[in-house]
Amino acid sequence: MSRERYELQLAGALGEHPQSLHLDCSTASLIASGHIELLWHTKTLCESNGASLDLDNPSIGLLRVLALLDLADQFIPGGKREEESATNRPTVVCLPVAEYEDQFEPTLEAVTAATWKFKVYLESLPLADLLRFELATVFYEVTNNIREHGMPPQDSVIRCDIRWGANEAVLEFSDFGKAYDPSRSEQILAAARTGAKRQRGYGLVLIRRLADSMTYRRTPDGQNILTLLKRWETAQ
Amino acid sequence: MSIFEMQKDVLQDSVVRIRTGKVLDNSNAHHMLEGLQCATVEGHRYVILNMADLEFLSSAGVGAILSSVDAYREKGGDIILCCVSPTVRHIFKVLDVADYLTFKDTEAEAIADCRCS
Repeated sequence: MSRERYELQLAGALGEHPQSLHLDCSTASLIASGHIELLWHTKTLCESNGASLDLDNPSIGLLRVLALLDLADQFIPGGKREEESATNRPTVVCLPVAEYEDQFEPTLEAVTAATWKFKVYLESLPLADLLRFELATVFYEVTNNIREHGMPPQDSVIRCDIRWGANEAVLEFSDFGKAYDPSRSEQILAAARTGAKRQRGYGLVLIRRLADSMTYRRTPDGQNILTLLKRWETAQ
Repeated sequence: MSIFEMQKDVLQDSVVRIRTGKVLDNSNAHHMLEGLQCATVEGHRYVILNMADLEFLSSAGVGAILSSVDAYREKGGDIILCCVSPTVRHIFKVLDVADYLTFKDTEAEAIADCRCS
């Protein structure tokens, strides 16, 4: 859910003048810094509307972040919640899943800038350094491959949409360039194993090996959609 | 120095050091390739590739290095990568080429390797 949609949902919920707003946190398993800002924003709006804010189903990750930031008391107060009566039914809003969206021109400069922007964003997520490096590498290699080999029209954009789970990310890249064959990487890998050291072609190999799965489809209107899944172990 | 800029120095008769910037990607991989090709044409047998500052390595950078190694080894030399961070080295491992390349932890060890050969 985008921030815009969340704000609309929140405004709608508060428009009902509830005594308490329940924020369903069950889908927000990966907590980004934006979530904390969102929580404060929600709490402030609730208080200005005379409503209390209750977090429903907060994940362990969210509880940990709140504790680390000394915010647990602000959002998860001790003491019992008042019994809800028929006239005091909780109003529920869902805390949005962390998402990342971007779109940029299919030029080397724009791809490089977009990768750097993504790297900065990754710094805000509770991820291991190596994982951040791998994700940034995948981002760069995919978008650069699209630019270089797909050659999308200059007046089009490369788009990426990333949705985060607790231990996985789904990265979707779309463009209107030429259709391509992601399985080509296996031929390059096979050549590499025989000792033939090529100068080019390692990008697709990197993508295939760093992502846990990859699916490609081409839509009837000529859009390439590459979807990658990246999983990782929970940090100890 | 720009994050894409590289520095090239001649350390001794047959040894050139190339120090990468923070980034070796499609923007500057061709400069790396040119630098490596020039060094062997100039008669240098070794290139020490100091990656102490390198924070991001793309497949283009890997390709520039990989495609140049044989030219040095045929002359009895090598391209020696030193001061490579674990994350950057991880890329070589993912591509199954880490065993093919020569890595040294420090520049001093890389220079010593050239002298021994």
